[in-house]
Amino acid sequence: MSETALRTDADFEAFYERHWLYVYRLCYTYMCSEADAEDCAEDVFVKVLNGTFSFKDETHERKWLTVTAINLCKDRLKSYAHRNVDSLDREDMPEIAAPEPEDDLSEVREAVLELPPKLKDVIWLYYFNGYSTDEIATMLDRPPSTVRNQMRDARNLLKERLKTDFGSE
Amino acid sequence: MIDNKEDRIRESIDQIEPAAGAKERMLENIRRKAAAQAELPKETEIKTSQPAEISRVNEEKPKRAGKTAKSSGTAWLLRWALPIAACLCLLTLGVLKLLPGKKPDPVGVGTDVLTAGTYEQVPGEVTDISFGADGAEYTVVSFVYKGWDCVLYKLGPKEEAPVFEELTQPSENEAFGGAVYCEVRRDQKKYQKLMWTEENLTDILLVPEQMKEDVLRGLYRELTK
Repeated sequence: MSETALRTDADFEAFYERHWLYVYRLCYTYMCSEADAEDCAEDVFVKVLNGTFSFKDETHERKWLTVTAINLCKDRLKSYAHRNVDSLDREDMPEIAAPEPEDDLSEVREAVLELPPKLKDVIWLYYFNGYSTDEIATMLDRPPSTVRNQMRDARNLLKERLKTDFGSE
Repeated sequence: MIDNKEDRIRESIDQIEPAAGAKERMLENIRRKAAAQAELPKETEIKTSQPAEISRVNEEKPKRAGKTAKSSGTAWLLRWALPIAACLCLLTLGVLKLLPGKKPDPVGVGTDVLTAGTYEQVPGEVTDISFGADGAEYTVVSFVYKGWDCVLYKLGPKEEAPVFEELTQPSENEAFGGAVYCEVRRDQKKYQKLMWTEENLTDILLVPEQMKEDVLRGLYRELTK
């Protein structure tokens, strides 16, 4: 498969079209605020726009965006903690006009959003991207045993919060 | 109706919807931020003749001996035998180092030629060495050069380069003989990265971000002489 080089505006816009919502949702999962999620997602795409990257395929694009977005969000959260700054305008932002959830999915979403960042990594990559624990270990540069332990911890926290099991490997 | 409980997590995230107009607003902001960044003075000229290192990554990073296992059958081998072999190798090197006038040839599991060549190439004190499992042509040497902790990856022609998050744009740097230079992040730490290819083997050098350019140049010269 030929590489995708983002050399023109049209290339970049097509790339943005493919991935903007995914990156936004990923950033929102960490930042828990619309403004911060938009800000972080924008910074991810700025890296792409100003870089000289070329990607092998959409899977490669998705993987690169995922790792970059996660690192960027974590850095941002660290800097907020360091400066004792609360998330931007969280209370002032309008509420998300979400559709009526089936099966009380809003509760599931809240539980996921409340997970610590390190556990969000594995939950996102496993459930949302379908990567195996070995693939996740490679992407995050952690031992597979650590990833499995984190999966277990995440599931236990979700189970405690939601009173329901989320499967096992 | 969602039957699979695990699907609930995916579905719950799928319901995160951005505010109205976010898509267009974000795109506008992206262009504005990118333009502002592009106007900042650059230290090195950006060349796009060589694809970024990230483009060589397809799927998994090269496996490190003892850290991954493809099946339970090889798990014991990777978990115990290879690290023990590596320790014995280092012990042999340590003993032989005491002998005057000779640099020892390491006996490595994996690709001996690649490992020996990498070891011979590295200046300074070697603190760790690992090899690709299952015949993978891949050696990683950690060493200390003038007090700086450095890592050198040596990859055979069929091996994929490890993935790092790039913080600056990779560019060929004449100060390093055209090697590709950029700053990266790995494990929440920042490094300077140099990458070059010689005789079908790829070298990737990671050094701390604080290492000064003249020290890095000296190291690069020693690695490539």
